Amino acid sequence: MPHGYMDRILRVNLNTGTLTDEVPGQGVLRNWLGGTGLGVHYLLTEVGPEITWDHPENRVILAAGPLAGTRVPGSGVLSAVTRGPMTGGACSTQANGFFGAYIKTCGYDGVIVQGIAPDWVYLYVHDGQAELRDASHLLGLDTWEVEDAVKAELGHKQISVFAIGPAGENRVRFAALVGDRGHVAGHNGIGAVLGNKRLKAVAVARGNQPVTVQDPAALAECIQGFKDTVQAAGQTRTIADYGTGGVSAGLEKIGALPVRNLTTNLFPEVTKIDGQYLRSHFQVKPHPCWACTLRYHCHLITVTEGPYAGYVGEEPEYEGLAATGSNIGLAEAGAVVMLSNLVDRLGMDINEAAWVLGWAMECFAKGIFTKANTGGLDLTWGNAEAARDLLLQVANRRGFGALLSDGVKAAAERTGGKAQEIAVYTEKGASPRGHDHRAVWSEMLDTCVSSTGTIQDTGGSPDARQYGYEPITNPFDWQQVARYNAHVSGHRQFQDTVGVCRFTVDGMGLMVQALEAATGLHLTTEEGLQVGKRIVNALRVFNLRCGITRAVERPSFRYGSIPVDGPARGADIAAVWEQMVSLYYETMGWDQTGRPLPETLAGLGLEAMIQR
Amino acid sequence: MGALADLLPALAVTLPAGTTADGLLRILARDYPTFGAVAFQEGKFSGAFQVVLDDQLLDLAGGWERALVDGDVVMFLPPFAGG
Repeated sequence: MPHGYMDRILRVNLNTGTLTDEVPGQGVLRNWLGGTGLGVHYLLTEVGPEITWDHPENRVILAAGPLAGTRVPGSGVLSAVTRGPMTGGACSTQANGFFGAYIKTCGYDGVIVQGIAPDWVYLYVHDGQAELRDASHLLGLDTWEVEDAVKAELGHKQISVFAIGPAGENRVRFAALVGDRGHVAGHNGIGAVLGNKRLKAVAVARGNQPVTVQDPAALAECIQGFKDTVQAAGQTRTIADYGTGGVSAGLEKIGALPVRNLTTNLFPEVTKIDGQYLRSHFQVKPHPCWACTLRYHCHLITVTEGPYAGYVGEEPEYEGLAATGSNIGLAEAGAVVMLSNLVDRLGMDINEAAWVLGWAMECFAKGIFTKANTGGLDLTWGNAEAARDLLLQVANRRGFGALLSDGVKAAAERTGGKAQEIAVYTEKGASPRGHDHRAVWSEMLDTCVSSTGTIQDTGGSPDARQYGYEPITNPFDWQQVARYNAHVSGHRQFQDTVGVCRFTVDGMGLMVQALEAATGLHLTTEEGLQVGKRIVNALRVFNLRCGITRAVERPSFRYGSIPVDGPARGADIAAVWEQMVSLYYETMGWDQTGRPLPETLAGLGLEAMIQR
Repeated sequence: MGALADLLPALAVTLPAGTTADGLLRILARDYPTFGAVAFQEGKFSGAFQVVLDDQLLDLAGGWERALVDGDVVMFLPPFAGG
């Protein structure tokens, strides 16, 4: 077995309470490497199309990558794979923190969860052992409270606890898995799947098993290379100084900041809620992930002014600031911190929460909903207290909020009429990230055609030149966009497979070098990308089997509308949508229905997936 | 704005009449070679940043051949992506 692997998977059958160890084997690890790849392998082989997201036989695979547990920066990533409720197809979602590193030190590369527990439980993994424990006393607790309670109960300081909150317990369809004080695997309802299984949390103690590497000196060189790369990158410096919230004002200047549910792109108040404001006005304390070299990215924060002075939480990432700030017309920083943390603590996806809140407030502004509908909630733009009350209702499926507990697409369809035209979603059901993609066509295309439940190819613009392709020079050139997305497809999946944070580790050349130094597995840059493409194509075949077709690979009316003001005013993505999707499919080696061609699958070692 | 601001200070420039956005970029690349190395690859715009002319993205405001006029404000903005 190569270094870097424990060659052991923990299988948890909640129906019977049985826990067993399995050996994935070298063939599986060579093809799928670990992390997301490992999850996709088990999803494909164990979850057939008849197994819906809430079926007992649905699987949740929580996996670490081969670099996890080494000193590679940000290699504590947890990758979660399942069949999710938002799209009805595959879900692949990641969180930083410590889980990935700690599970390796317990002697496991990952955990497979199946079945439904008769009573609520949580899983405790420690020192090569695992046990299911009663979780009845944890019900109703939010994700931070669960973490505190479990740590106190187990009496272990170095422990990674990922939990669902009330939203997951109530099977809110955009419920998330939250752990390590503010790290979120948020997409495609992973929390709802766990809630359906009555698994409240997974706690992993730091164990004593060493994660050995093939060539420590070579790995140290790679680690220095990663440090040098991120030091040279402008955005990374911004993140170190101000967190990801440091980009908020810049996004407003290019029309990519979501403002009031995409009714406008003008929000000069952004400087009252961005990372620069938070770091200069509030108290912050570093809260780094495993082996992080960006020590000043993640912070805990104490609000020191305004109506929420004294509130303590996690410093919101950019998407939290956009979701509970600009997208609901709120420019009071303390309130934004409070709301963003509330979403995490209730255990919901911050992206979908943004579109849910924004849609409800726009409906209220337009008179579609009145206080008579909302149970007295005054959903005026920027009303933080009403937003808080609404989020609590959504997470608990109570009152007016219950309308929104299945996400904005379902709520808009149930409401009908004008309400449907103003909702932001993909027709597939995946939630757009906290950006206005009408100014970032590359991400809108990716969000709509992705098979993961969120983006799969883009986010931070992987450098196409490392693969010999041209970058995007005009973000509104649909041909450039389609080709670029296809050319870099696989890059992000490779990162999620080796299990690293994209803010600290990037560049395929260095990543494959690090993989070889850690495990001895040699891949060229092209082979690394091929591993990622194998995952993209396997997920697509899985989704096709689930009945997801080209017809739903498009934005909702509002999501794909023309910005009426701001830097991207006039950009009309709907006019070129079908051509762009067609070119993307063609460049990916897919037919015009979005089905991978036999030669594409064969070229990726996926012959078994070719439909006979 | 990160590293881009290290390469190119905020400045007011006087340009020959009829100078296009592309012409401005080439003048700046000549006068600030480290910026030029980021801005161009093999003589073509590299795509390393976005350009906003006054308050609109350049590609929607006439593109690189757009002639600049007195008082125009041009911003070079690095790629942003929040997590």
